[in-house]
Amino acid sequence: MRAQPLHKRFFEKGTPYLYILPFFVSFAVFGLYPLLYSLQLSFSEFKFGKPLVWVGLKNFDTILSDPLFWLSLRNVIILWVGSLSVQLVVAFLLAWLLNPLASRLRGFFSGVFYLPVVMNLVAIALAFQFMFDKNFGVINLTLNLFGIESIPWLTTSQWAPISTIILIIWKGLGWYVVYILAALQSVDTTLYEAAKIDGANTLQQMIHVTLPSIRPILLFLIVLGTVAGLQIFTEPYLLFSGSSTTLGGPESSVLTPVMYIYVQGFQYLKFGPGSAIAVLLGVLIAVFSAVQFRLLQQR
Amino acid sequence: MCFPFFWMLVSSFKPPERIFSYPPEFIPTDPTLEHYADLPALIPSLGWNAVNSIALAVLTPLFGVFFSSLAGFAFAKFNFRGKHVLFAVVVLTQLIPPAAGFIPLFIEMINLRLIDTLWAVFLPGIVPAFGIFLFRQAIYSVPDELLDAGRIDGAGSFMLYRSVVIPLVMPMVLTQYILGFIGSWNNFLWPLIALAIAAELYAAGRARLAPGTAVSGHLGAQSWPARSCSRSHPSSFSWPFPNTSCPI
Repeated sequence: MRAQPLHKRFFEKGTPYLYILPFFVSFAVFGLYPLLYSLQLSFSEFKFGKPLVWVGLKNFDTILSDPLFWLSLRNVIILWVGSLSVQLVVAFLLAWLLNPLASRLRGFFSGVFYLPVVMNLVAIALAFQFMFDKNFGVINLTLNLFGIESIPWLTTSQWAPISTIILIIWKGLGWYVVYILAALQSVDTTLYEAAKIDGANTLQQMIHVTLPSIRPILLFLIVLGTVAGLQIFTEPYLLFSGSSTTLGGPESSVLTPVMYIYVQGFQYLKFGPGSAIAVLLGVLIAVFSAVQFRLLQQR
Repeated sequence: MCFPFFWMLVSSFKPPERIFSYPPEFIPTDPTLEHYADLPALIPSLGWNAVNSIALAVLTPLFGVFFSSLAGFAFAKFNFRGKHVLFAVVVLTQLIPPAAGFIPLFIEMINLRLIDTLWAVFLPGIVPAFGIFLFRQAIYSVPDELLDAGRIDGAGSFMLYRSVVIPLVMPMVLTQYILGFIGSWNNFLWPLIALAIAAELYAAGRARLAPGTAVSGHLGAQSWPARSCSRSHPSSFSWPFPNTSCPI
């Protein structure tokens, strides 16, 4: 316990509340109120200029019997697991390789990996769309040079999720590298020396010293990566903008729940069913985060 | 890692017929600036779009840093009732998916007459919860003795915040500002809804009012509220760039 510092007795009682007030006002107006209103909307029928009509579980019934909703859930799980798992493993290996480098070199490489994180996604996605083009894209043209046949990156439901995952990995990798690198730097080096004396090789050191030491940051990255991963929207939306006639890529293979909220809400103006998806997604994210916290805090 | 940037840059200098040439050209043989020259004609609102994006990206984190550092100061250096519960609320709000609130937020912004103005994008982002969390950690390590010394010299708590705390956590201030700038600059879905979609819906609502025009849609024009910011929209809808040219 810290002793009560001297200066604290001087402060007026109301001051700290005044300082935290902006957050709570802003959260109430733009966070909590929309959330509660969303809950109400999900049980109602909405028409502009008319009062809400209570319709019970009708919106949930509509959504839960909609095959596109289930497809969007399946898609987002593929995109989330496919991208997050690769990002964590690759970022860990990259950070492991960068860690012993001289600080200037390390800074340079983490800068290079971080560049896509700060780049505007609209520009990035259009560049990828351009590169993934089946007939004229630079990726297929390069594959052709080596005698490999063109891959229909953006036009078939088999390849569409893969191209989207590639874009997501490329865009987000640097964020994971920077966090894991920071964690690696704070690992107590005497632990490695002790492990060496005990005869542990590099792999054993990685498994028994490094991974346990950075577990908190990995937990943090997995939870945030999951919260973000279940809300994937911009990458598939932009990658297939203009090139696909169906909703959410070929055969809707990259339609995600957030994209479906957007479509229901702002293209069909069906605010009730749209809010029902939002509520279901919110519950799903809460459950996933809680489960991950439990699983990773044990052991 | 850098190839997409490189390819984008190289392609922008190639004449149209060379962009898709086989085998791919990695160094343009006869570079041209024609694509850059064509830009203003292709996207007439580009200038305004850029001003809007830059204004939002510069101003939003400015407010974000101020409010979140103030709250972080309160959580780090004050004792008050409910402190721990309130801080837990701050942390937990980060788990709420923003997309879950976009439909009600859209309706709310219509009711506040802020839809299709930059306010609708600016206001929700001015107190970042993650910033409060980071500033609390940073300000925690500011020694209490310095605050006591300032206090004895007669400084009020805001004076202490301004002259003692902020100079000591300057690296965090810069980090937070940059993070906020990037976040605002890359913000896509909500501006798309609050500016571009809203403008499109307004245009549809107005077209419905005109006699003899049939617009498919679910909007009753009579119930669509009056514009909060009067200006005409370009007839073509220039996705994905918000065509709002309304000054803040």
